[in-house]
Amino acid sequence: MSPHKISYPLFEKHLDNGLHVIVNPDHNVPVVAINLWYDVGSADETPDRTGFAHLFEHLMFQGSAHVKSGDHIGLAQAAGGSVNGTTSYDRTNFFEAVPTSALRRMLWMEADRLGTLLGVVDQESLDNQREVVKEEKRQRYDNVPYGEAWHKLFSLVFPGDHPYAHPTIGSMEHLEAATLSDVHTFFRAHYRASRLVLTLAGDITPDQGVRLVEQYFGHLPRLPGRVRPQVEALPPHKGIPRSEVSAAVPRDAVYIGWRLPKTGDPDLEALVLATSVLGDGITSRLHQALVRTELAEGAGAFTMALARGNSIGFVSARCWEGIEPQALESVIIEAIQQFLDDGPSAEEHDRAQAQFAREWLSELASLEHRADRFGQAATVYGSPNWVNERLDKILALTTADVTAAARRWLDPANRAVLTYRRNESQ
Amino acid sequence: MSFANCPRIGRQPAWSFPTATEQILDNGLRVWAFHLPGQYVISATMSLDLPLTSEPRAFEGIANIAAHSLDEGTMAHPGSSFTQTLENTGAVIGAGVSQLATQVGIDVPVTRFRDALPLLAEAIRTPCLADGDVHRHIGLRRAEISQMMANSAQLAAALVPGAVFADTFRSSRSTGGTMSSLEAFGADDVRDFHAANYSPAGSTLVFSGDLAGLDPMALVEHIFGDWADPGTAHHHESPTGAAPRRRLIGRPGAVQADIRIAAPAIDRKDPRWPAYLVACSVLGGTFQSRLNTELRERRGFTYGVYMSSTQQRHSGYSAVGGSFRTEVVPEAVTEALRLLDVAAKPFTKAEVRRAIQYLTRTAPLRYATAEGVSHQGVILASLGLDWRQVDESSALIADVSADEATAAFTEIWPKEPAVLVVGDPALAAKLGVEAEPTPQL
Repeated sequence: MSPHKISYPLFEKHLDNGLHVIVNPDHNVPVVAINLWYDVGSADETPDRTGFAHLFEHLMFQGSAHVKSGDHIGLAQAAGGSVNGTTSYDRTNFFEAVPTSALRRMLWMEADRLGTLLGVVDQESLDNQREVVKEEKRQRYDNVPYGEAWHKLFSLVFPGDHPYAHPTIGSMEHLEAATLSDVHTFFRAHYRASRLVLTLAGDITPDQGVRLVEQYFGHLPRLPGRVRPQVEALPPHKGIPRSEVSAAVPRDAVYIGWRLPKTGDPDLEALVLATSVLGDGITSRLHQALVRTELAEGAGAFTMALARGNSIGFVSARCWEGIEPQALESVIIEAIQQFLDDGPSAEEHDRAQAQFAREWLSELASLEHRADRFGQAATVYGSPNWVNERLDKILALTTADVTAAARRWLDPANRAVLTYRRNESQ
Repeated sequence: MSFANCPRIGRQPAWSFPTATEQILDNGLRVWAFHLPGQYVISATMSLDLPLTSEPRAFEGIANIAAHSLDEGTMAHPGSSFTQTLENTGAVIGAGVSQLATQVGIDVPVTRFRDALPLLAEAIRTPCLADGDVHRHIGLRRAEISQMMANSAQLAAALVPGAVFADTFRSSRSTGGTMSSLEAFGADDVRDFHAANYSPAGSTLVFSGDLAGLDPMALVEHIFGDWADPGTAHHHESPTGAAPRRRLIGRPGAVQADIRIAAPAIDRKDPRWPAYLVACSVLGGTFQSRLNTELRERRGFTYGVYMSSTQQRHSGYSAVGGSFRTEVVPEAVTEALRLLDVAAKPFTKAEVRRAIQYLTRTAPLRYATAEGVSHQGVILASLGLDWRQVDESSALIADVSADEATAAFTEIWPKEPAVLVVGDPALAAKLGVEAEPTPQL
């Protein structure tokens, strides 16, 4: 039996100023998810100004011409909404889900900050949010075991001048040096209606949705397009770059990374299934080879879809007490080589597809996550309909597709390896 | 545009918590089925009435090991064949243990629900709990404890129950056991524990999703109807509070410290519960709460500070928590304690109105998915409450006045709560305590 057919109704309009509006009516609950997907992320920063896209995301909550600092979240919460923003390598998203009664106010506030933020943002809010972001960096990365692993793996997989080589959170030194003038330059370069996909998913009609967005965002000017440097696709690694970190961690650990094709390449979806067979759940090959044998306390394999030149794939495993990371790496490589030689069995392939179907349906069950995926799809793939089509495309992949993609991209000879070593003196 | 043009919030749309179809089987198992159109993944969770007071004192952590070993093979599907069969349907299984209950659940596409639910029943009723699997899960739990001890925020959170409840009560100790208690039992004990304590009596199966055309009650009767009650009586304790202490767990060189300020509170049957909930929300439940506004937005001390409450059947506790850079920790503690002195600055009508709006108007969003509805159903079941409680509580919360919120908080929250800091030992003098080494969890 096939999983549920996905066909969310979609309506689109491009306003004169370039803003792309998407409406997905869903009348099951009296709530609307609003998602603003701005096509700017830490990959748009220069290597000497890192952390800026994210710091800027914080400043977007510090008030605009008609909204006091903190009120964007405060008013949304008092109206029964949940609200936040996040920054990643390729994008910055701002989102709120509110009862339909608060939709107009939220759109008005979003338009106010896009239209008037620069007239309001001042040294005091910059200084305050700089401190908050530094605390976020300490809390999420600096004061956590293995907190830096992700960043270190990225800097091993991508060369120093690559847009993905530096972490989105930035460096303390660059955060410290950020000035108000940088804030203005960044906003002017990247924040504009033509770089925005605004999605409304929930208890609203397409006409209502488009009309409201036109009412609140229609007056914003159409600004010239941005010239973004092309990022060439990097070939797979040669020579296995390695890095070893000595840190106050409870166990040694191994992180192995590969350069994968960028978003839109059909191989990337096949690699979603390949990494699922290798490292998703307790039936996966890595769990069976490492955790059931008490070589590792945990093991997984993942892909992260990225838009500039390459994506990234990785395997991570934490050593069982007393097991050496080299031993772990050998078993991982053996398991991957076996997978490249034989490909997934028919049962493993069907299982990976069934698991993907459930994960995808679960994600889309939430209006907030669904709206976010529509924004991503419109920006990255040119159409929100990618969300409706993705499951069918994944279910159409064959074991041969998965094997071929894995052989092209997950060859152990093309890996980069980061090892964490426990240092008790730290 | 001008601020005068700021659109008003319209009339709150009518909403109520979904209605469950209910049934109680002859063996005592209660079933709540929530039909949610458009939710194509069904979330089905069994909340077993299994308070941790049922664990032998020397074997603490055994309930957690049993729960996490359930999916390692069943009598009908031994070893890995169980999860292979389950995952072939697209389902994922998960288990967790709280002081009140063991919860085991699956998420599965509606099209495979009929195939997957019997497998959930197998895991709960007839797991193998084989020696090797149990042994491995004990090792994994010990590894998890090592990770918790190395993680400042997790360590701080783990020490809260012992800071609020007297150590004679199970509630004061870790749900997952300690390094030493995990050495005390083996697979035989886990199998005995399962046989004696997993029971339909007092347990609730909650499932939510698009149930159109599924006739789930007949299926539930078929796969759980002959599940026998082993007859073991369970006891939900009423823990008393611990004497409040101030502790600093030293972590030399830490760039940040985790702070927890905690105290025993009330359970949900206490008539002051709605007012107390509103009070905690004003103090630390939202972005513009008193604590977050002062410590994050005005002073930039932290990425965020919150106040949360944890409920048991006959008790509860509340804790303020956040991570702060080392140099501001003494000031952050003083300031947080000052903000918690509500008698000195009673809540205003505007603050209470906002908190009530937040607590009541966010309900449609929180319960918009199958996962959200099942999660809430399972929490209520474990507390011995009914799903109708969601709407009933909402109505009570909506009626709380500023005076009632102030009175409830000042009665319940002590003048001297427990203060826990996990951070640089150099803070000892300014905090007025001796730095302790990391305790063995």
